[in-house]
Amino acid sequence: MDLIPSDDQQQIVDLASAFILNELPLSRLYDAHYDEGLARAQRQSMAELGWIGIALPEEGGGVGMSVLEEALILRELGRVIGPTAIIPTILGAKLADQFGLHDLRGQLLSGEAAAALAIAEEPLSAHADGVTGVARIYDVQDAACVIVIVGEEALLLDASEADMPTVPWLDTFTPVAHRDLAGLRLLGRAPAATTVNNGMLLTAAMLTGLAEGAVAMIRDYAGIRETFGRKIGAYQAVRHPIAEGAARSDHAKSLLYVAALCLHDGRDDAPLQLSAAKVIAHRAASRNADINIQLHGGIGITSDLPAHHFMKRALMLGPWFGGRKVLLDTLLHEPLLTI
Amino acid sequence: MDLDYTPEDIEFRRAARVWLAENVPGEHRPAGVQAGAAFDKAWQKRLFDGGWAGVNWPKQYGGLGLSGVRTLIWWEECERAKAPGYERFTIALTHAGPTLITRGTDEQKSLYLERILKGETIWCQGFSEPGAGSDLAAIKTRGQIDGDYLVVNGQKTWTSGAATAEFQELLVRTEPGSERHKGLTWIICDMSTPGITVQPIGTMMGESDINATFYDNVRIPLKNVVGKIGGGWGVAMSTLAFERGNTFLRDQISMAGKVERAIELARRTITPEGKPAIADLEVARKLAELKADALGLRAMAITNVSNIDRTGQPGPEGSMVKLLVSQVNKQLVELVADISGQPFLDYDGTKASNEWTFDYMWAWVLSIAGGATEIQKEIIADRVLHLPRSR
Repeated sequence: MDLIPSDDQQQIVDLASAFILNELPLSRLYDAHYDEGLARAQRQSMAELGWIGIALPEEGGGVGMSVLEEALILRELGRVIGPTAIIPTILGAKLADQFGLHDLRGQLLSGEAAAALAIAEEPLSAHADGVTGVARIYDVQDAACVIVIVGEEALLLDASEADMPTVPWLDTFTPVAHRDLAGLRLLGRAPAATTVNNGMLLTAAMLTGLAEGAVAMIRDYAGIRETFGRKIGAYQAVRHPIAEGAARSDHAKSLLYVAALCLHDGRDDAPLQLSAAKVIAHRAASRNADINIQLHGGIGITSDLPAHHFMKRALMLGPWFGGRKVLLDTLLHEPLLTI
Repeated sequence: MDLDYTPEDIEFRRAARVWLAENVPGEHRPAGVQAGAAFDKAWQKRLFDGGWAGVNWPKQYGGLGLSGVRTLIWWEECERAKAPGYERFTIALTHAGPTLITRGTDEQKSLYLERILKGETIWCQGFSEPGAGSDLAAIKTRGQIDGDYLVVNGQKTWTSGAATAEFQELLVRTEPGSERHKGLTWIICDMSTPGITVQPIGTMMGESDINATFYDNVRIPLKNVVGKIGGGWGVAMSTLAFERGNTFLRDQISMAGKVERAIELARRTITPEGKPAIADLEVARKLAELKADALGLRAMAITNVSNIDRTGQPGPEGSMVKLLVSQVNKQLVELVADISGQPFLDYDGTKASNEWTFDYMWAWVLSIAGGATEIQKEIIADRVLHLPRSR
């Protein structure tokens, strides 16, 4: 029993953070706007690193690692408010693999195309050739397919020829469409649990990274900004909320690792641990985004500073793979595993 | 990273479970100060006789020298078996003993360590003073060298267990005019020495064992000094990481069970409106969130023991654990008060009369004793985040 990444896993983390330092530093978000060309190039770079297929077996074109490495990478991406498209794209590649859609799998693994995620805005219904009902569709840029959860099923829909007009959206780095899913051809269907559990893990990992990134940002600022002749980090009114933020991050990180291992090992309490991990990580990301803005003072609410993106991203990921209320209502009655 | 137990871990768990099932006392710990201490001594002796004393003390000093993971397993099994906690042996087992192991002379080690493990000697802590609690370096109690003795005059406070303790780890100012961390000495004080007066401090819980201790020309042999005269601060701090890393391990892993008991209570309790308390969505979701919090605390315990097993000791992250355990516990007992309604106030001044009500008040002890929440935040800000110092 050990919750510290192995040397090999640490190497994955180090490679990810080196890539991020070069390609996705937080500074890229200073007064930045969404750029399709840049987003595409970033997706392709991440695909080249093998991140899309990190947990797919090598014979399926993947790297042959596991959900543990997925979680470690997503956590690193979260720290810098990295692209969310990688979440549905990782899940989409697995579904394509499962459905024997090798062309689609190849497109996703190479970064040529991406997968989008539809989240219901009204009760959806699945039938023989697709799904009907209105949903928000996240990460529609270059989307070849859309993942949607309907009841106990995960469905993969063809998006290659679909019209996906984007709507004005708070998190401007995530292109989102709003439409009825009717008309999107069904590519395959599978029991939802695998996709939902994996999706909860990836989302919790990104949220954990967001929580940590927000604390890192305000810690750095508190070390240089001066008021009343002192660094603001010397004031307890400033340093104590940051200390609480660090504790929240650590709490979320440990639970994320336990949840990842439970999913990896196929343990019975995986759904409980994953729901808990997502609830705690979402709370940590939201509260840490709050202290990051608040303790920056006036500059915190400007578009110059990327502090607001932590808040917007945490808000957006709330409903992914089960919102807070849904997850809490399930986990209340899940039995604690007795050893 | 893995959550697997080795076959030896599993065998250890089985052996612990079997022994605890046969040996955990059937009766509750009694309320009285003397009776409580006698209960704690009997339990510690039983642990020693069964070969389970000092689970994380090094083997060469009579402990089991368990790895972090095995320590976690031990506490999980204790929780499962509803075994007594450290209680009056908290200071001896988690602070004074480890300090002697780290800094004591061979003679001191042989004189004191085994008697702790055998359940013969209770220790208390003589650190805090009326003017020096969170700011420990402000202590004023004097120790004056007179021949082979240190003569102590002054007052300590919050000395839990002082009325029943055989020994005290005592921190005094031995260099007149010295300030802050300098000029302090850590000495072993025999509580039967003439000149010591222990005065109980009443608390809001009713039942408690907190005291003020007064020293009037108390003569302590110099051979009882641990470390050097004037080097007491370093001695006192040498095992604080050990304390933070281990003292709250059981609180951490017991939180999930405590939340489950609160969920059970909410299922059983019928509100004046005639519905089960858990039918209220606000109550249900708060309970669910605390359950998630408790799972997170257990995950942090695993991280903590992983660090111990990799590096030999817990890091300053122990302060994060104490902060979070205190917060989660407080939210839980507030929620239980809400669930229970008026019967929550049925309380006769003893823990046994209403454990949740006692726990509600104990939540402040948890967030103040052993480094208040505000001090834990300072430690995190200084040692984990390396923020500019506030003082």
